[in-house]
Amino acid sequence: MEDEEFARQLAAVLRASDERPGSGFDDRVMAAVRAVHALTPEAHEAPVTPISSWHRRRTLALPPMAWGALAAGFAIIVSLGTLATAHVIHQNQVAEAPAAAPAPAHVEVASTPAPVAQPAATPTPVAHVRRDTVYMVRFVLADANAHTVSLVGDFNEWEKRATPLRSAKPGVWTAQVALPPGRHEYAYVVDGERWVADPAADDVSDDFDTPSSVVTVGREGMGGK
Amino acid sequence: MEGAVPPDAELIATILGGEVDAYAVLVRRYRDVCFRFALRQLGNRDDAEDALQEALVRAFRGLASCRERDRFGAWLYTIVVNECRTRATRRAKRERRFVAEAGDEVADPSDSGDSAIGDEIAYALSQLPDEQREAFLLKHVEELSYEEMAEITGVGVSALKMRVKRGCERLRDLLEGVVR
Repeated sequence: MEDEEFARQLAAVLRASDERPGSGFDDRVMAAVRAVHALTPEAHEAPVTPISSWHRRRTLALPPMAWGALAAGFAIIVSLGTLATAHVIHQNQVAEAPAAAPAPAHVEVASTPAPVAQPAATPTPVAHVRRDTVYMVRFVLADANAHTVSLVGDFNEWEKRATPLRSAKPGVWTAQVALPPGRHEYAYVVDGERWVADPAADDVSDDFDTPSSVVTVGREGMGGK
Repeated sequence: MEGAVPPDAELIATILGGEVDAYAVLVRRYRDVCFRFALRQLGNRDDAEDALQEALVRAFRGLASCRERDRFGAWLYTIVVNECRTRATRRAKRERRFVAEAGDEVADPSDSGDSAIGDEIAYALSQLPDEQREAFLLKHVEELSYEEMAEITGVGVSALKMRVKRGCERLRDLLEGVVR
């Protein structure tokens, strides 16, 4: 049998199996896409004005008094811009969190930096958290008796149906979620009603003593507490 | 009567105009064919789903840079192929590092959803070097031309032909007596 015929037979078998991603795949993708869009909406918008029009040379004729007014206006804009920048830096300093603990075994993370992101020219202590980065975080729960498991957290508004885990192997449930940098509280809901904290992370409790866990996502590292 | 199916370029314009949910149509349109490649290339469903999800998110992030919008499928395929390569490389490093636990992360043909002869073929595929498996799948399963393969993989046509030929030869050896 010739190579071509052999390959044709093989390919026919491989194509015949109707393999598709598991249920909930589209929802997971779209949840990740919406998270990305929420962080960098401008990166996904088409330019409204053709670039070439910005390059067109224009001549502006103004009387002398108008030039004075224009200079004063420019000075005001520069001042306001300086004040705004100072305010943003102050906000970042207030929001800066202490370094996170080392990553525990129950979560894995992979960052997906935005293609439009540009590194800061001069690194500063307040610039190390990139607002335009999401991290793919894998959540894993081992529960041999569970029939269904879902992930709830502040990132999906604690909605039980939003992020179902799938059973990778018998008794091992996993989900991969795109999270922005920061601290996120989460828990698992087993069989639609049993609320459990992540056994691999320390518990925290809310005002109603409901157990949950915390994952901290960011460039410094990631950990649960 | 079927409703009008918007072409890729039109959908992309809609998405870039702010209608993010329109991306779900592109996901549905291309996920199965991309998943089939990722599953055969990586050897198990979990890795294939993760790779495809990552590729789809990456494609969304870079959507504005997709120049030939009516060829979104080919562009996405390139991202999927690259994502599979990255994961295969990462997995190979992990397997070398944890050699004492060999078998724990190695592709399990029974996990690819096949049975009987399909299992044998999936196992034989898993024994090929990554680049030969990739070339074989693109050529014979996805039925791409060598020119299309070159565009997607960034590898020259002659090198691709060699990979397909060697992949076929290796598969024949491995499947002797199974496929007649």
